[in-house]
Amino acid sequence: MIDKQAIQAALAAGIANGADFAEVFFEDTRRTTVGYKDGKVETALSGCDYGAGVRVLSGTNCAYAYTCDVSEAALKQAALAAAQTLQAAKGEMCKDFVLRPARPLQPAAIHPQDVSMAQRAQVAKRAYEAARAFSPEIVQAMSTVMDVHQHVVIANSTGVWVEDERSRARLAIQAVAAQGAEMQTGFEGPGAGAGFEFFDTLDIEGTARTAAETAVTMLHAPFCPAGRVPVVIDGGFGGVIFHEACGHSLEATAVARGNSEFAGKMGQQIANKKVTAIDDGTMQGEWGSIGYDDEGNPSQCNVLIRDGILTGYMIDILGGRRMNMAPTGSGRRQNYRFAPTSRMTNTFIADGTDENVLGEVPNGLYAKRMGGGSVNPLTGEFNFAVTEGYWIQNGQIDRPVRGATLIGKGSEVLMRIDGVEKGVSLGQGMCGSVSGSVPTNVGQPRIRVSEMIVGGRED
Amino acid sequence: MQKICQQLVESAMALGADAADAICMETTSIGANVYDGEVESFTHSLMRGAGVRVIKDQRVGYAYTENPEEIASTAQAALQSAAITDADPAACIFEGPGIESTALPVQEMDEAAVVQAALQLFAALKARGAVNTQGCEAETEQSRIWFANSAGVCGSYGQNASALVAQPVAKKGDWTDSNWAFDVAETMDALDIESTAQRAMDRTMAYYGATSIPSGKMPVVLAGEAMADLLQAFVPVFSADQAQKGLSFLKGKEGQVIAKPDITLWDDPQHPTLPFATPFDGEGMPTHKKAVIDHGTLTTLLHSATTAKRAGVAPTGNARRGYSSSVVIGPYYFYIEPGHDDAQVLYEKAQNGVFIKEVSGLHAGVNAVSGDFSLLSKGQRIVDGQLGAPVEQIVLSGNFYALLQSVEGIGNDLYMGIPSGMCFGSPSLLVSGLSIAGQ
Repeated sequence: MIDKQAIQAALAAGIANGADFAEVFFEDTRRTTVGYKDGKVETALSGCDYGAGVRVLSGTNCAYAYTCDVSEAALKQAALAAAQTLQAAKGEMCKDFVLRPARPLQPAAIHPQDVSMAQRAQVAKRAYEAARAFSPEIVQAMSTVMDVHQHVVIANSTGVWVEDERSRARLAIQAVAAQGAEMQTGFEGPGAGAGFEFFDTLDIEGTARTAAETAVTMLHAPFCPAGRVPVVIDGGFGGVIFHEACGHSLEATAVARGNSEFAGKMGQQIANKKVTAIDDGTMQGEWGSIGYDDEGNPSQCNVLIRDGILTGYMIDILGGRRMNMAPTGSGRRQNYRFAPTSRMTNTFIADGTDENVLGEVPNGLYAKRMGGGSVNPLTGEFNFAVTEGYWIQNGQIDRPVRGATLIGKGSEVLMRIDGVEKGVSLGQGMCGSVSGSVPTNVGQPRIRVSEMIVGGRED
Repeated sequence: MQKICQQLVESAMALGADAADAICMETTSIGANVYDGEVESFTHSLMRGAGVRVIKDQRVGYAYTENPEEIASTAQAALQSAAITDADPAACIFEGPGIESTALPVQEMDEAAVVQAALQLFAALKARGAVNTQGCEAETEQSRIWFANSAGVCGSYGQNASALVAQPVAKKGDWTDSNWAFDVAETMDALDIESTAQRAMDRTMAYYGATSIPSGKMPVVLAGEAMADLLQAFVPVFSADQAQKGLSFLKGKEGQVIAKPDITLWDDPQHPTLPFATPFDGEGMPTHKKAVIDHGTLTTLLHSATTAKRAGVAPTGNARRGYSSSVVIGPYYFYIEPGHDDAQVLYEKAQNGVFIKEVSGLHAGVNAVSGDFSLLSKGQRIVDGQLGAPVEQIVLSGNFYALLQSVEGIGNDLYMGIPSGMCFGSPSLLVSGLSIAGQ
């Protein structure tokens, strides 16, 4: 565990040696992974991530030192090493810490440490067997049961003291279908901010069958055509389009340095008026939620776009200093080895009022399941992968088509969202950026984009 | 730390394991990022961890910790993990002979030099017209790796490296774009600041006025960088573990022709242009250079001790492992041997098509099981055998296995990617049968 005295000494050392703000982020995280493949439990790994990061700020400059040695001496050393690079005037240290109230947004009813490896293996085996049983064409499956319990202490020189417990659980199942010289895959990865009880409520066999069905459908599908067409994107993980086309470009990480196509556009119309988009870190028990962010600020429900108008960014403490705006509870980091920066939590396009957006498409793509993607927030150029697609002919689904990558520029695509149905659902993923990989939800109802470049190919 | 490795192995054996091996790693690093002429971010780090793998009754379990007080309980946790995995008759550790420890050169971590380099890199970008940066970093890192197992194999080695990463932003009227360039060397003073800044700006300006192009199938010249990225994304197809589980089409193809006869693909753990070598793998086995594809023929898949035993072949020293992960099979420096054609010769052979310089979205647009890829790309048109206008907003699609058999020309250049755990390289290649999706 970490000593309050050690944290206090480190913060005071940072401030005294040239910083106007100092922060300690301590972490004791237990994680377990069980992998089932080829008819057997193949991997069982458990581990402990343990260490602290000391951050000092002077204006908009930051120095960061991290160490797995959390003794008072080592923390002070880290604080000094960091503060000395700033070469700034000394700041003000708080007299005392005020413990912020607990915000258990990811509580564990069944704590991971009370769960045996055998129980985890059982869940993985059920998923594996259900996928294999779906069809003789399913030749292989890989299921992984993961759980993480993260205990953090965050304290800073303004007197903030936060202790937060975060529990997450996730099942990942990949099914492989093969016939002759062809192989295709399907994937599902449901998760939640919860303990092992998540696996009691999850439809494990149904999830595995869904992955298997995707694989078999794609095995018999021709390639997706290439060109510029309307695209209908399903809800849930389909929300990755917003995450890539817009989400990253609204993080202070890019905006604060003028490296976003949406910098300086507050109050302007940046999307079709049918689009209202929200980043909400306060959703109880969700995969992307946080009670407190990794800077000790409580999470918030941030409305980013309302009826097409830009109404908010996601802002961390340092970004807030650059932009002269208040932080929004968006400071996140993968672990103690990263300084935090503004990141997403649960990000989704809200309910619309359209019905049957697919019925109005004469010729286009229905993207039922999506993979990940990436973006350059400066130019808005983004890409994301369709893992299960169908071609639409005259307002009807005509045939399945194999996956392709969709590309575009964020600002253009947002204006081209011309249909938003009702019924938001969320999908789980891992988002990578400069402060590492963090769990996020994406989401939306079914939407339609009037035109996108579909990266298909001829047979 | 060598003692911690031994202790982990001894604890595991005392608790009843049949075999065990342990890896410990310690990395210190310093990095500085410059924004708007100031060091806006400085990071100083110490990372240290230990991981153990145990085999009991042919069952394998792993555990790791970053808390030095938990060594005994970590060995215990590994045995608990092993108890629930299923038996694998091929599960084994490396029996030796290992390699003697190489000297661990300790380098002074010079903070001032790192800050200086980052500031100079920024100045160099500014002088070349950068209006902003998405990143302008210098960093230096020192890693030590220790290994021990219950068959008496033990050893250690060090890896030092320094790097520059320049990500300038350029602007011309309404047009803006960013790109990046890097340099890696064993020491800070061997890095070339000016040339890194020049390459970064050249790449950033290269797409001024770029447009998309009409969709179609056409000859494609893949720049070395694009092919190296594809190699990285498809490296699992060369893993014996993937093949043995029916997840790679290279299963059972050792000795067969899988590529054009002028394709040779090397794995070289000690290549002279790497900033550091890797003398032994994550199981303690000494590494060696090998031609994985030799003039079109697949000579071997990449093996660990376990996959080699299962296949009845000699292990290849490709068991990669950090302290917090299980063994994953992978190469060290995986590169296609350059050929003889000048770039101009490749464009002439292509006549009309596209030169693909960069691909992105590899973590999502690639499927290592099916071999299919569909990637956002940038480059230049090839018109009547000459390089033409810049191209962006296109998708390059194809299949990796088919690509290896569709190479019509190999350039005499060699691009080496950023060495980060694994390193990938390739010359430019002329490839038929790929599709472009665009306007």
